[in-house]
Amino acid sequence: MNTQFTIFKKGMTLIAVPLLIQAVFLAVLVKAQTDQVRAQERVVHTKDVIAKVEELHRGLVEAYAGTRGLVFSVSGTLSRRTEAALKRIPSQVADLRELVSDNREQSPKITELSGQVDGFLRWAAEEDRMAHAGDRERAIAGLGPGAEQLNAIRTTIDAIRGVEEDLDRRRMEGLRLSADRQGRTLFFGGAVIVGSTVILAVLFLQGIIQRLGVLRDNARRFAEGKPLNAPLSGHDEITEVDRAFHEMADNLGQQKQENEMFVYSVSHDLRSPLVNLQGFSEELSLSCSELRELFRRDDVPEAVRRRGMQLMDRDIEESIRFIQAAVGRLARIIDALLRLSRAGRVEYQWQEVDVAATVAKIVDALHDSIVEAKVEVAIGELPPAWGDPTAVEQIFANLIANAVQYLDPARPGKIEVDGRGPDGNGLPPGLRIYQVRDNGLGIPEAYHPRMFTAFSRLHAGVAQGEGIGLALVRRMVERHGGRIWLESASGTGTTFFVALPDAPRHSPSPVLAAVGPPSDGAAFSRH
Amino acid sequence: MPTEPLLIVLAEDDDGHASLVQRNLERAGLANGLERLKDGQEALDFIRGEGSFSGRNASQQPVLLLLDIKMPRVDGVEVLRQIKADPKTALIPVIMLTTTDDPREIQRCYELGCSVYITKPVDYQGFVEAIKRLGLFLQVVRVPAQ
Repeated sequence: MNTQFTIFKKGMTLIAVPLLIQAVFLAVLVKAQTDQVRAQERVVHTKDVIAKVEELHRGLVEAYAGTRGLVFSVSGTLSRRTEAALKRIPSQVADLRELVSDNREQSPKITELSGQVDGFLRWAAEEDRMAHAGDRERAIAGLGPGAEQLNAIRTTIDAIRGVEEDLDRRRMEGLRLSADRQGRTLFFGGAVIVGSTVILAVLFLQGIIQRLGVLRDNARRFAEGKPLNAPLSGHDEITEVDRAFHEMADNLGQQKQENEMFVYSVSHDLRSPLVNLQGFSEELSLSCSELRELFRRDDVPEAVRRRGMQLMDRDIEESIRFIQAAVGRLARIIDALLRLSRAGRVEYQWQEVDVAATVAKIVDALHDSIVEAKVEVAIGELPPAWGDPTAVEQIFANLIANAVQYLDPARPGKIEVDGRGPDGNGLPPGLRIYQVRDNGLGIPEAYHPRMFTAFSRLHAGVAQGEGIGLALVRRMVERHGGRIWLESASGTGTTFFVALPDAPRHSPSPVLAAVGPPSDGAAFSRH
Repeated sequence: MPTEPLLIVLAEDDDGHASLVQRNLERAGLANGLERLKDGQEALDFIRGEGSFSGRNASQQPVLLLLDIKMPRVDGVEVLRQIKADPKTALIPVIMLTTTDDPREIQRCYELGCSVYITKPVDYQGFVEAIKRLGLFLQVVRVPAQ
């Protein structure tokens, strides 16, 4: 179905076309019905004619028999039945003429019959007269010609009957044909209506369902951070929704890019004054050392030296220490911000990642802290994932390091890493679940929503850090089109679930590919 | 054969950073010649003897260029690109001295031909070492040419 049509127009077409076909079908059906009724009337008419002509014949036979009886009887009067039959005959002939008036083939035969009947009636009247007059000899002699007349009439009647029966046969044939036609009309009409409706519906639905499928796919791709399908063509409502969705996605992508760039450029701009703070506090330290040397010289009065040393060692030294501590902290926060921003911008090298080897490498690197924490690490079966090797390593390194870091000192630590996940997890296909389980401090339910937010730390006293590890992990997992979530209870431990693609995605990393290096854009110039 | 003293050219728009570099060079005994420029355009003009440095004989003295990346007008990467693209200046050793530690940026600068890439806040010990080495290297390669 043409995509230039709106869904409304398509819907109207879907209703209107079968309706039109039904109307035509109904008209054809009514016509066929009318034909049928007319044909049936004609059949009845033919039977009528035959009945009438036979009735006339019976009347004539009756009249002949009565007349014959009269001739041989002694009573000298016609029976009542014969009289009645004789009386009926003219009107019967008239009726018959009336009945076949529309049939040109029959008219001459009826005229002939009419003449013959008139002759017969005249014969009967003559016989009656002769019988009454007692002229028995002549009356008996007249019976022979009467019978001949009756035979002639019979022949004519048979001819009339033959014509009518022929007609009847033809009409029956017509009736049968008409019934056949009606049946065919019903069958084909029904088939055309059902067929056209089905064809239109299929075309209509194909257009709509297919396009709706593209929309649904786009929504899913958007949720998974994949690039959207090419915009739909056409001018219907679905195209409009699709266009609006693309615009929304573009806007969001642009906003995200702007945010990334903002964080990136602000972090960098913050670094510049930080370099001065750090450098000049270093300078102050050096100057202090030189001043100390100066104060140690022999020509410095003892009181001045003592006071000077006091200022150096206590006041200035402490000030510098605080400045440097603050600078260090600021530097770490800025580094964390830059790392977060980079996690969203760095170009991914897509390939199959040997997760088992990666995890083994991480556990190896953490060997010292694992031994120190006396933690038992169990590595289960870890099938490969599809992604960026560096990012996948960082994901598992963060999760495993966290598990080691936040163990409960009250019980021996145990960490399990394997490639199993909960069944019926509601994940889209193509994702493989890995889990990192510990029996550590655990995370109270209330904190779960904030676990993946940057700069929020739960066990701040337990370990150092700016609280961006899990935020980084989430960022990387999401850029893989994967998912991360956790199950945990305070005091029993935590399980982090990571779902990563198990096969190549449709296209490479879509996120912020357009962001150039920082010195490219006007955004970084200082005018 | 007397050689001209090595001239260190620092293109840095932040006065504090410039002062820190200068102090560390002086402390290391490398204060013999430091020309401080405010941005990339000045650096290009100085190297080429153009604009406000039109009186300068560009080929007179061995030069080592210290470049900040984020500078007004012309940024450090662009200065690096132009210097390395011009055969007359391509041999000048360039040290990138910047706050950016983005691996892509570092890779780009090395691809363009910078000699050393140093991220601020600098380890001044290493920084001074790098300058000394480059200065030595520069004089070694310059000697046969003269």
